Amino acid sequence: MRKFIFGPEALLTAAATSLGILAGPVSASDLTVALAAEPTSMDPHYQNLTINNSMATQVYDALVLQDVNQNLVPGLAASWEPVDERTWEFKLRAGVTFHNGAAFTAEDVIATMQRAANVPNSPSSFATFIKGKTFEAVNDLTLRVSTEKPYPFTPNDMSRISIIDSAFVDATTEDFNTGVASYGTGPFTFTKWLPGDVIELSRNDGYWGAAVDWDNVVIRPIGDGTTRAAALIAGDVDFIERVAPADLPTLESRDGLSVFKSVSNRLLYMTLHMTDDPIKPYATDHEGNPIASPFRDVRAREAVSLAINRQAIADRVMDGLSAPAGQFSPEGYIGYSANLEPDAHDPDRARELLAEAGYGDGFKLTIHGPAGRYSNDTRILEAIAQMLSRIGIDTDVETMPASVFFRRFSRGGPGDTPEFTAAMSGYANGSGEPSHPLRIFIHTKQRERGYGPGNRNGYSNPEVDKLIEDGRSSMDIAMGERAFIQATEIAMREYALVPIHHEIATWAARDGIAYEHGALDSTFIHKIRPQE
Amino acid sequence: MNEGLARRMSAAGQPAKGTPMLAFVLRRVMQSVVVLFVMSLVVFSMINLVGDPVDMLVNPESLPEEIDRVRRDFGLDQPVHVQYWKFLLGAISGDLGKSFIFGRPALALMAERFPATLELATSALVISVTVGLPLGVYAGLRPDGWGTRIIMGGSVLGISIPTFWLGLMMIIVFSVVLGWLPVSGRGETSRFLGIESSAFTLDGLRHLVLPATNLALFKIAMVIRLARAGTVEVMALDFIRFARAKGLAPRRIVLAHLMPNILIPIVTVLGIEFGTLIAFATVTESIFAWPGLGKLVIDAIVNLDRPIVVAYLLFVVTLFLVLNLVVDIIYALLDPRVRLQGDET
Amino acid sequence: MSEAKAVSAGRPETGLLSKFVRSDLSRPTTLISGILLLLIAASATFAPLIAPTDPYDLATVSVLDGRLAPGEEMLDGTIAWLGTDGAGRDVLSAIIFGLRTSLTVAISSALIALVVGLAVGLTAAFYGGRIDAFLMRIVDIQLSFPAILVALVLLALLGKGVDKVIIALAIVQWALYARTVRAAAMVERRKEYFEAAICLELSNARIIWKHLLPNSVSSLIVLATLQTAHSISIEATLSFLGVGVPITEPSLGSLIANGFDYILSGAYWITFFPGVMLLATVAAINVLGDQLRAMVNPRLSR
Repeated sequence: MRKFIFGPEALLTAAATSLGILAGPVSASDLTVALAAEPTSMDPHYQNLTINNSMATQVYDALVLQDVNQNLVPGLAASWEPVDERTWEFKLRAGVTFHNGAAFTAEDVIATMQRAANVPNSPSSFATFIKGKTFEAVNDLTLRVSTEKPYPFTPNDMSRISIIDSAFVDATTEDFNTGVASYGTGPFTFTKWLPGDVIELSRNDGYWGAAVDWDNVVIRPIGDGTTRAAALIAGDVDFIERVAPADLPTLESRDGLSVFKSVSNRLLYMTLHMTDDPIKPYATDHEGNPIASPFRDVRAREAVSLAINRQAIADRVMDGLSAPAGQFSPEGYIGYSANLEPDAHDPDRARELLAEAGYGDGFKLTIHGPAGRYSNDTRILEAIAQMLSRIGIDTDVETMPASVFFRRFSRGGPGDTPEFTAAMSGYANGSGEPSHPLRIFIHTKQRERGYGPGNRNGYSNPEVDKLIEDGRSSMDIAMGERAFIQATEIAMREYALVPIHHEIATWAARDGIAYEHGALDSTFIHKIRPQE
Repeated sequence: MNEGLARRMSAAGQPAKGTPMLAFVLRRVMQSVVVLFVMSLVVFSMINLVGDPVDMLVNPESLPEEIDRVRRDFGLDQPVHVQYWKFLLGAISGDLGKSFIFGRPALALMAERFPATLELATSALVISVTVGLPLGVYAGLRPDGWGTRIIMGGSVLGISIPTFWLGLMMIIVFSVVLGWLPVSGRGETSRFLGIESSAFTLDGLRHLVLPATNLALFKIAMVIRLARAGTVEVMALDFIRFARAKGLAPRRIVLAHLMPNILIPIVTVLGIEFGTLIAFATVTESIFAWPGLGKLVIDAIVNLDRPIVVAYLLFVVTLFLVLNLVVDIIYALLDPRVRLQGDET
Repeated sequence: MSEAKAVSAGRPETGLLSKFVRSDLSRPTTLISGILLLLIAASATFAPLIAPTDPYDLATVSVLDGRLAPGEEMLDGTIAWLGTDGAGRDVLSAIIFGLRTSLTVAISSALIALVVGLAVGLTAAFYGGRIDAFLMRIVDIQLSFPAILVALVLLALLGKGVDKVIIALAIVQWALYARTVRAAAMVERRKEYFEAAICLELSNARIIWKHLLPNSVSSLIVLATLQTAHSISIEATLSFLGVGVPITEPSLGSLIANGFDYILSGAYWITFFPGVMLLATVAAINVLGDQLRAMVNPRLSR
C-alpha cells in the first residue's frame, strides 16, 4: 500500500509554483524575510513581547546586548562593573550617533528610562526592569545605576531597554509606528511599517559595530507555516523562520536551500498540585469522589515523569522538533546543570512507584492545558493522557483557549487559587537572567516580595528558597550561578515541575545565506549574513 | 426555501396598510437603536465573564504591581457596569475603544480590514448570481430534463457540503495537486477608480478565485433554487401563456417577461444574504488566511482582545439592521402586495 | 443559510409517514438516502459494537500508531482500514463514534429548540396582539443574525463541551420553530371553530393542545429534519474553528479540523474520510427533508 497519494516534496513545489509571479533574481544586497508574526507596535517601549523585542534590536541598541544564547555582551555600554554593593557603573561607548545624527550620551539613557517606564496603555510594560533603580550621569559617558539592596542583575535588566534619542522622550507610540520618532543607534534604520503587510529597514552605514551586509531588508508576516515554506521555495523570500514540522524534510532535502535548527530555551512542562488542600475536583477515585492530590507524594510525581515517553512525543507528535528535557535550560544555556538528565521512559517502574505511594489501583485524573498556544500543545496533552492511562491513571484531557486557560491556571480555584491538579504549560527565559525560572516557578509563593508568581502547585523547600535568595543578593555573579544550579538540581529531583521537552527552533534560507542561531527562537535580522 | 420572502411575509415590523413610509422608517430606526443598545449590553457583560485579558497581555515575569497597572490602564479594575457606562459614552461619540493588543482604535483596525472582506463577499455574490441564475432558470424551463436533474442534484450537494470542508478539498485539488492557484493570502492589490482591490491584478485575482468560489457555493445552490421556483411559478401565469400564444421568441419571453418577475425576490434575498456572506467569511478567511475582518475577530476572540470583539459584533448587528431595513423599504416600494399581506398580524 | 427557514403554513396532514413511505420510496435518490440514513443511524447507535477499536479509551490508543496510511497495521495487530489520525486513533472507529457525537448534538439541540419554539410560537398565536408582536419581534431579530456567528460567539463565551454546543445550537434555532408554529397556528386561529372554542370557554391549554398544535405538526417535522442536517453542518464548522467539542471526544467536525494540519504533508485520510461521511449524512437528510416538504407543501418545491 502506498503511504502517500502525493509526496510532500511534490506538494510544496506545487504550492510554491502556485504562489504565482516568481520573483526575479534578487539583488545580492537586498534581503526579503518572512516571519511568522509581526510586532504589535514599532515603539520599542510599548509592549514587552518577544516579537516586539527582537524587532527592536534591529533599529535600537540597549546598553548591554545579548548573544544568541543570552550571554551578556557589550552594547552601548562598552563595559560595566559594580562599584559598591548597591551600584553598577556603565562606561558608555564613545562616538555613537543616532540615525538622525544626534550624539549618544548618558542623558539619552536617563530620558529613555523615563519614557520606557511610563508608556500610556502599554499592555505589558518595561517598568519591571526600571522601577527601584536610580540613574545618575557621572559625565557624558559614565552612568551609575543604584538599587536599594544588593542586586546583581542590573546589567540583565539594562539589556531589555532599547535606548532612544532624548529628543523623543515625549513621543507617542504612534510617532514610533509612523517613523517620526524611530531613530535608534542599531544596525538598521527604520523605513516604513504597513501593519499586516510589510516592514522595511535599510542599512545604517554609521553603525558602531560591524555594519550589516544588506542595503535594504523587507520583512513580511506570513502566518501560515506551509505558505511560508512555499514562499521560500518559490524564491519570493530569501529567509523564513519556523518551518512547519511537516515541511521540514522537503526543505532539508531540496537543493539550493539550507535549514538551521537549534534546541531552544522554550520548555514545555507539567505542574502537579502537591499540597493537602484545597481538594480539587480533578483527581478522583474510580467512583468520581474527589481525593486529595496524589502528587503530594514525590513518588507519584516521579511516576508521572517516568510514564511519559518523551522520545515518542519528539518522534511522533513533534516530528523530531523537540528535545527531551530534564530541567529548565537546554545544554549550553545559562543555568544548565550537567547532572540532570531527562527521565527515561519506564512504565513498569512508574507503576511500582504509584503502588508504593498507595495508588496501586490508580485513580482518575483530568489534565488541563491551553489549545494553540504551544507547538502541538493539544496533541502532546493527548499523548501524555495515553501514557498516564497506561500506568493506571485514568486520564482525561481538557483544553481551552489560552486566554481562558491562563486565568484558571493561575487563579480559577476558590479564593483566587490556582485551579488545576495537573496542567501543562510552557516557559522560555526571556531575560536571560539565570535566577528567573527559580524565582518565578520554584521559590515558595510570596506575592509581595515578587517570589513564586508562577508557583501554582504549592512546591516549597526552605533550602531551595535560601539558595535562590542568597544568589540573588550577591554581587558575586559566579557564586550566584552555582547557587542557582544547586537549587535547580534539588527542585528537579523533587519534581517541583515535570519537564517534558525543549522545542527545537528552525529557520530556512536559500543557499548563500548563513544564520547565527542559538537557544532563542526569535529571529534577529542582523544575524542573517551572506555566506562567504 | 425562500427564507427572505417568508420572513417578509410574517415580519411584524412590516409597514402596515396605509402607514406613511416615513413613520415606518422612523419606528424601525428607533427599534434598531434599542436592539443595538440591548446587544451591546448583552455582549459586553457576557464577554466580561470569560478569561482575563491581562493574563494574555502581561509578560509572565512582570511584578504584581505591573499587572495591577495594566488592569488600571485598561479600566479592567472597575466594576463591569462602570466599564460599560464608559464604553457607552465613548460609543455615542463614535469611539468603540482601543484594542488591548495593538493600542489602536478598534474602529480604525476594522476599517483597515473591512475592504478585504467586502471584496471577498462581493465577489462571492457576483459568482453566485452569474452561475446560479442561468442554471436555475434552465431548470425551471425544463423541469424534466436530464440537465435539470443534474443541476438540482448538485444544488442539494451544494447546500449539504460544509463550507470549510469544501475549502480544504479545493486547496488540495487546485493548489496542491494541480498547482494552479495559490494556497492563501490576498496577493497584490491595486487601485482602480479609487477602489483598492486585488481584483485588478492578475496575482490578486488568482488569490481571490478559491476563497470567493468557496464562499459562493452555498449561495449558488440557493440562487438556483430560488430562480427555478420563480421560473416555474411565473411561466404558469396567464401573461406568459399569452406571450407564447402570440408567438414571441422564447429568448424574448425569458429576458423581457420572466426575468423582471423572478429578479425581485432573488435580489431581496441576496440583499439579506449579503450579511450572511460577511459572517460566513470568518470561516473562509480562516481557511485561506484571507486578511479580512473575520480573521481579525477570530484572533481577537482567541487573544481576548475585548474591544475588537465588541466592536465587531456591534458592527455586524448594525449592518444587519440596516440591510433589513433597506430591503424592507425597497420591497414595500416595489411590490404593493407585500403591504397587504404584511398586516396579517 | 438555512434551507428550512421558509417552511410556512401547512395544512393539517394526517398519515404523513405512511404517505411518505407509499409515494416516495419509489424514487431512487430518496430510497438510497433513506437506506444510507438508516445505516448511519444504526452505526451511530451501536458504535461500541461496530467500531473495530474504542477511540475514547486512551489506555489503548497509542501515539506510536499515529498517521498510519489506510490499510496499515496498528501495533496491536488491528488493520486501520481508513488509516489513523495524529494521536493514533483508528479513523474508521473515530468516524463511527464521531457520527454519534454529531448526531447527538444535532438531535438534542433540535429537540430543545423545538420545545422552546413551540411554546413561544403557540403563545404568540394564541394571545395575539402585543404579546404576539413582542415575541415575533424578538424572533425576527434573532433570525436576522447568521446562526454560525451567534453560535461562534456563544461558544467563545461558554467554552468547549458537547453540552455547551447543544445549548448554543438550541439558542440559534428556537426562533425558526417559533415562527413556523405561529404561522401555522395563525391560519387556524382565523377559522370559525376557534371563535367557537373560545366562546365555549374551553381551557386555554386545551385549545392550544387540541387545535393549534396538531396543525403545525407536519411543517415542524419538515423543519426539524432539515434543521438537523443544518446543525450537523454548523457543529462541524464550529468544531473546525476550534470552539466546538473537545478533542478527546471528536465529532466529525473536530476530526476534519484535526486532519487539516496534516493535509499538506500528504496524510489526506484524516480529514478526507470524515468529510465524506459528513457530506453523505447531511445530503441524505436534506434529500429526505426536501421530499417531505414537497409533500407537505407541493407548490413550494415541485
